[in-house]
Amino acid sequence: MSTLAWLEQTEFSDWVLTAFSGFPLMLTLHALGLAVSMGLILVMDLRLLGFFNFVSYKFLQRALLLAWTGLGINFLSGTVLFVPRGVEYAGDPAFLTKMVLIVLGLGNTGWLHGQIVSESGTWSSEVAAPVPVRYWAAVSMLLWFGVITSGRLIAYVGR
Amino acid sequence: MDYRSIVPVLDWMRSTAISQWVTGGPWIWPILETLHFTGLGVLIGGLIVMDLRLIGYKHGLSLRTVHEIMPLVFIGFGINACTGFLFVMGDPHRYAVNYAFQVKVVLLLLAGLNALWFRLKVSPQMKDWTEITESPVLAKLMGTASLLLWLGVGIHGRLITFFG
Repeated sequence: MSTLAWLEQTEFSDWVLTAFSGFPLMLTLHALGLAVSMGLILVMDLRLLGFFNFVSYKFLQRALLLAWTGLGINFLSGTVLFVPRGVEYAGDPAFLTKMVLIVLGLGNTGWLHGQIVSESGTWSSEVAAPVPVRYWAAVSMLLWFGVITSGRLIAYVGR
Repeated sequence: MDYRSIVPVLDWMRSTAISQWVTGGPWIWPILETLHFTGLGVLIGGLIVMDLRLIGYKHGLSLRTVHEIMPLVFIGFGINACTGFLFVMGDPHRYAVNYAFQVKVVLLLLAGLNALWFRLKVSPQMKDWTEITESPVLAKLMGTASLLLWLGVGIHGRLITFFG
């Protein structure tokens, strides 16, 4: 029996599927983590693209800590949601697409965060960030929108 | 209120062309849901930044933040008001008796009243504030109430699935 199939038969999976603190609570946390992380990453992206110059890069660095916290909440709640349905999800194109986009999104956001920490002191506070950074900020919006879309479609594709 | 008294209204809503469109194809509902989650992120992202400054968080946030990030909040709200309206039109009988939805609507109204009160009472005074002005207690309460009310809206929106 595969590990994923074994996980589905554990008491933990039973609890996720039946308790209110299972699926309902975890999905709610997943939505709240989405709101906080996607919302603040969007503010970062727009700031790098030249909007909202009243938001300083100093503030963005703090906001990004909150965004990473939201992503952490979603990693944990997402893992709990995965365990009882691992076999199904492992073959679901929407889920697999989401995982790929998350890896790309995390890499991109991590890089942008690093750029803000190390380089933003030399950027003008009035206009968009320099060229490679501003392009990756636009890519960030596409990647995370793709994560939200493929995540929502897990409920509809592959079952 | 007796549920049966509004059934004719619900029946009428379900008979409209909008309602038929929403449920007319297998991908319309999922696409609207995707937009609704995206709008949630847009709204909450702007709201956190706005309310933090209103509450008095000044580290790297200009006072202009409160008013000038509002368009982002309104775009998110607009997306969700439109998609939310379409959900209700598409399945009115289910939403009418859904406990989580009813709580969500009440919280939305309270959030709206809070925003209106801010607009009338605090917003006009803000032109006299400077970057170092301490936020009045009322402004802090409104910012906190806004974050908590929208948190409640998000929670109850997600729980609609689990109440029938």
